[in-house]
Amino acid sequence: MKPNFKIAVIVFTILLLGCQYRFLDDTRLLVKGDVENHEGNPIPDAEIKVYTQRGSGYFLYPAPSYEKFCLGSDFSDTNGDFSVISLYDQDEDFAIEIYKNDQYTSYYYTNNTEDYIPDDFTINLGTVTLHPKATFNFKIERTSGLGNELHYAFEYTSDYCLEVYDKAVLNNQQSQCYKNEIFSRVLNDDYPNESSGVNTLLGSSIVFIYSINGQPEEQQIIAVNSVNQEFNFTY
Amino acid sequence: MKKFIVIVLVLFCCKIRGQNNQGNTEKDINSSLKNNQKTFVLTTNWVLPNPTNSSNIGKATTGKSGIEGGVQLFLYNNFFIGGFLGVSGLDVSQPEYTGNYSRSSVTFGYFQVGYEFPIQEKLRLGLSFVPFGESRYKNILSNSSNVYQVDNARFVMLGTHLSYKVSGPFYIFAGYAFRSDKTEIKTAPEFQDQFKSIQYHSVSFGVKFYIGNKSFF
Repeated sequence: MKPNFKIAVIVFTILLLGCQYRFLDDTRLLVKGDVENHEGNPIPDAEIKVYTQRGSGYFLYPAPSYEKFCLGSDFSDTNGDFSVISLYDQDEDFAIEIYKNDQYTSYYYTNNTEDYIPDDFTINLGTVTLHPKATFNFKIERTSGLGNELHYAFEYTSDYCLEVYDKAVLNNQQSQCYKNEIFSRVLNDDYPNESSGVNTLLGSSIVFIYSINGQPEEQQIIAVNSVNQEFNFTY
Repeated sequence: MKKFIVIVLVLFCCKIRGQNNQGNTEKDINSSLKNNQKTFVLTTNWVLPNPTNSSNIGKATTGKSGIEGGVQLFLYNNFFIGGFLGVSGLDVSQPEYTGNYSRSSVTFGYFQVGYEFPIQEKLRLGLSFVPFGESRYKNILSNSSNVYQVDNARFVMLGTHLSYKVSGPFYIFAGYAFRSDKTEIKTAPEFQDQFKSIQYHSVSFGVKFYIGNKSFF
């Protein structure tokens, strides 16, 4: 059987082209702003990273996998100010992340930049607030015996800030910045005990709402004042 | 007295003869230098560009050596024009100044005008000016070079070189050039000045192969 070199060359070329990622020519983006904590004090050495994400599949849709590329990064200075010089990509998954360390919350900016170039090649994030994080660990145990049922929920503040932009405009509906979240469950004979945890903001309050055997709801307000807060409840 | 006159005449004749011989030697050298006219030069060389700190890209990078090659044509006497193509590189050590990439592969081509003349029988000195050159910076994010971004620039360059004849038409040479790239990079107004140009001090070593013995015109 004769090898078909034309087909081999075409396939090889397609494979080569399919693996290439080229970002916008002759462009540098400036991402600027400042980082502060919940008390308004500057946070130095917070890391700011600019990302784009590209699907690695060329013919298949949806792309079978994605690769994330860092286009630029830098740190906030002692005043919390930052100016990050970055490459730019016109892609549906363009993102900026601000991260201090595990003790602080993170900030995420996303935008579909497929047909968008920011004015003056600048994205000004303004003041970004990072909060100290806490882990709220709870343990609920049934001590009252078979047949007793608990409906419960924790209302808490999420530990991340995601801002979704449509070009230069913040999309409030899709953004989720330190939103109230609810974790709720029903414990009964099938599943009488629970031990879990949620991440929230240090200094925030968690509302614990519960009802035993269909009785009127009661609630407790729990102040989160330690990095690893423990909460135990029996019914 | 007669003896004295004879001695003076002999010395005078010897001096005249000596002067004539010296004149012949200078004539020979001048003639040799004048006959050192060439038509073409083929050049290939190693080049090391050293970016200055005058731009963000210059602050963030160090030059990587490359090669270039080209041809020069002596249009009239020692005046020449030439065209070159080459490739060199930059290593990025501080990507916070440039955007996040690790190295640049720089390809370039240029047109030059210049003047080259013999200063000794085996030495030629050249001065050149590049009024128009183009360069392409392929800024590579990963080792596999398939994740990249491209910057384009036009440049001017002023240079000099000294060639030494090794044998027949073969010369070796060393050169220095100052090059200024004007980029097409668009960025925020507060950083535009830091990206509009990239300047280099560039050194080169290579070989030249001279062809012909008269200028084009």
